[in-house]
Amino acid sequence: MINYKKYQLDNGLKVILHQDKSTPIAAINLAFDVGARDENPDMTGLAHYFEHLMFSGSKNAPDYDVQVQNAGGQNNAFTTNDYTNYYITLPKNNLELALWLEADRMFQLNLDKKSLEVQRQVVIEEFKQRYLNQPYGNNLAQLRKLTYKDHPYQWSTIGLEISHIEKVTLEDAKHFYQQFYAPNNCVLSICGDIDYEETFVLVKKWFGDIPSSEIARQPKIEERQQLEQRVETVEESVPLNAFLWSFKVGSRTDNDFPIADLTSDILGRDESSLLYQKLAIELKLVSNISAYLTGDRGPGMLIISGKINDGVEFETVEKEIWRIINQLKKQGISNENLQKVKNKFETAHVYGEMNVMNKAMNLSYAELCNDVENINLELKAYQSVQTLHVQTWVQETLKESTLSKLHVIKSSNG
Amino acid sequence: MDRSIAPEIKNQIELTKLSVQKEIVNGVEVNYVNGGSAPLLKLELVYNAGSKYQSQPLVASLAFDILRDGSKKINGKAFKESINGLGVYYGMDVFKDFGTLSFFVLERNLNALLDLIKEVITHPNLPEEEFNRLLQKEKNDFMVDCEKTSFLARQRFAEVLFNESEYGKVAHYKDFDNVEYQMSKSFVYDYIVNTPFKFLVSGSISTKSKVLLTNFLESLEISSKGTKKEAKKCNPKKELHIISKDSEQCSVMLGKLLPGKTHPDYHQISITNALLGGYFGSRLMQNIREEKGWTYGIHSTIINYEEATSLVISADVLHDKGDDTFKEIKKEITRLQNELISEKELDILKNYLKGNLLKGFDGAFEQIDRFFSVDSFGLGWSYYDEYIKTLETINPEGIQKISIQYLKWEDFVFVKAGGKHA
Repeated sequence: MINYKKYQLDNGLKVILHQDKSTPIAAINLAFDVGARDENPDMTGLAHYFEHLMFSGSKNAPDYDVQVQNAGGQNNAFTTNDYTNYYITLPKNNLELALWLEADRMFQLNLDKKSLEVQRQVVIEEFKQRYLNQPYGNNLAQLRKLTYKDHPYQWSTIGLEISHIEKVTLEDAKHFYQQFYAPNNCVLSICGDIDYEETFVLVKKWFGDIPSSEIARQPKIEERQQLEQRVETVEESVPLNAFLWSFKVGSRTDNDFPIADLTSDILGRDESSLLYQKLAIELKLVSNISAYLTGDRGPGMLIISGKINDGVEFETVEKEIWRIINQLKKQGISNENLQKVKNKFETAHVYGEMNVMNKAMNLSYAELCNDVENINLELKAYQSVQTLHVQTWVQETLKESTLSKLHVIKSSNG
Repeated sequence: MDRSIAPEIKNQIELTKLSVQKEIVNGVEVNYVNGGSAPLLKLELVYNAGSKYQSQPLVASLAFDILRDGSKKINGKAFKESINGLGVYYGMDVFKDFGTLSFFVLERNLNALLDLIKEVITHPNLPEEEFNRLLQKEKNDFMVDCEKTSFLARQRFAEVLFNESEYGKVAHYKDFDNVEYQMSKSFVYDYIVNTPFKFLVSGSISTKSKVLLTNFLESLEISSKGTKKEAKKCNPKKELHIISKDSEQCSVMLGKLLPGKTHPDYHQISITNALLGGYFGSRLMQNIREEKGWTYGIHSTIINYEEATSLVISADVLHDKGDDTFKEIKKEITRLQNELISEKELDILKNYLKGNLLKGFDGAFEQIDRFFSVDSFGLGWSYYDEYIKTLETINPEGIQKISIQYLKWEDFVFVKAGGKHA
């Protein structure tokens, strides 16, 4: 249970404050409601590239990183398909400095040719380091493309290809900033040993007069209904054949999200899961196998993926996965099995509430998705899931017609 | 509203160190760090069973892998269902010096978890069939890793820097054919079963939990086995080692041996390392990433093993910039040796490191890590007081002196893996 206070400034900025007297560290988190899904299909990767540019400094603080370091702080950011998140942790005495810095770059960021070019190169190297120069590194991106035909989830945050990043101009970056980086498109959360009233006064002081802006989003794109299973095979220089499956599921704000999440855990969270026990340990068909939800705000995916032992056919693996899914449909699961994944969720939940940075991030994101209060309802929602819910959910969701399969075959010269 | 004036900052930090309660129970040294209010505990069993104790590569890691397979009474499947059923997050990991079993557990499940741990460390199951599966899995993972230039560089780097020492023995493809079930099984009996371990417990520890933990320890039959072993001396091969592979990026690694944590210059060396490449504002990160854009990240780290301490600089860079990256690193080290750091840059460094230290003491789980990282070298909490003192007193001349003395370019070993142009 996290106690918090929620405020909103006249310019639309939402503010969530949480007092935690046990820590000398304050955490400041800003979640902007802009992600890869807001990009134009021929300039993908811009939201993430722009995240790098947010560290270029601002009018009154041209050296953002240095200011944070000098205050004894650490900062970073990440971009997802749904949103872009910035965070700072620093000794609590220096909280106001963080607010000054964040307000200044929300209001008047320095965007210049030099940082645009350097960060373009850094982002391209990131593309290579994390995706292209890794075995299987690009497969998830390929699976996205196969799964989504209309929705912008068809590309990853790094972008579809390097050429998209290469053509971003300073004008594009400025336009993106104008469009999305405004107080009315952001949730600010602060956690630490703070006084609620004093902290809110500081927030008003630094953020209060930043003008809001008209957020012009791309028209919402509905993904067409998938009617039959899709299969694609790619050949790569990898040591083992691999498969990635995606089933289309709902959104993280749907009521049945806890059911979906626990079901993916039952299927493939750890080495005691149904898939791992059967396919990896018992039958020795795969080297590893796991299942998880992408947990998007839009139509998400349940992904099942694994690497296949040498000499085993794709079809054999596939038959066993379906056998397990069909068994869930017919017989459901035992209470113990469900209780197991609930317990695991609870441990992670308690752990997540122990750290100010985690809490600040979760508060911002809960509010951005829907309502911050959900953070305190989450555990109960998971605990109230029944075995029958899981069975019904599997029956309705894990169907051949919502499945996309990517087969990665090792090339003969690989 | 005048935004041009930054709010004032305060750079005095107060480190609140929780007390570490040390007890010897039945031959086991327990260290409790009690703090926080969440009903979650972290338990770590630290054995002198790192990879330096193994007769050949893979033996230790497979020994810890196979420990996950329960006991004579509770077989692998039942064990995994029970421990996950308690909602426990756990790891069984091997490092160079130590092997550890670690657990995050909700307080209410502590008793049941302790029963399971006891099973595993007194009557491990160790089925040969599971050993063979895990061996195949490790081999598969190894083949995947070998596609990564950063992995190839790391392997070779360990071999050439820790040459002649156990720390430099890494697994090769042939080792997967040479390792045998009996070796890992013996390793488990020689170094884990009934051997003394160091027990680290942190979190909100109630009186009731403490009783359970004490009872657990008292019920074990600890023998006096498990004596410590010292790794042999390293004889670094100080030259450039090249691994050819056609790849999108080139992985570079370079480094040298350093004096360890107990050396009087260590704090100064550690601060100098941070300046060189230990944080985002460091010389290397600013030069190679923020000025040139050759890499997503470049880092300089100090790694402490019991018998060897080393400086490691690593980066994945633009495919044809490997050699230029070496040149730039040399330039930055030479700058440290020839030019005094400005007071301003030094202040930023000090302030950053102070904040970083404060964060490293945020909560019982963090503090037990800080504690173990000094305790395992025979040092105590005063290590951090001395570190803060050094942070407050170190000056530009001191940094220069340390750089000249400990960052001699001719002492470095170099590895370059991959890229498009050799």
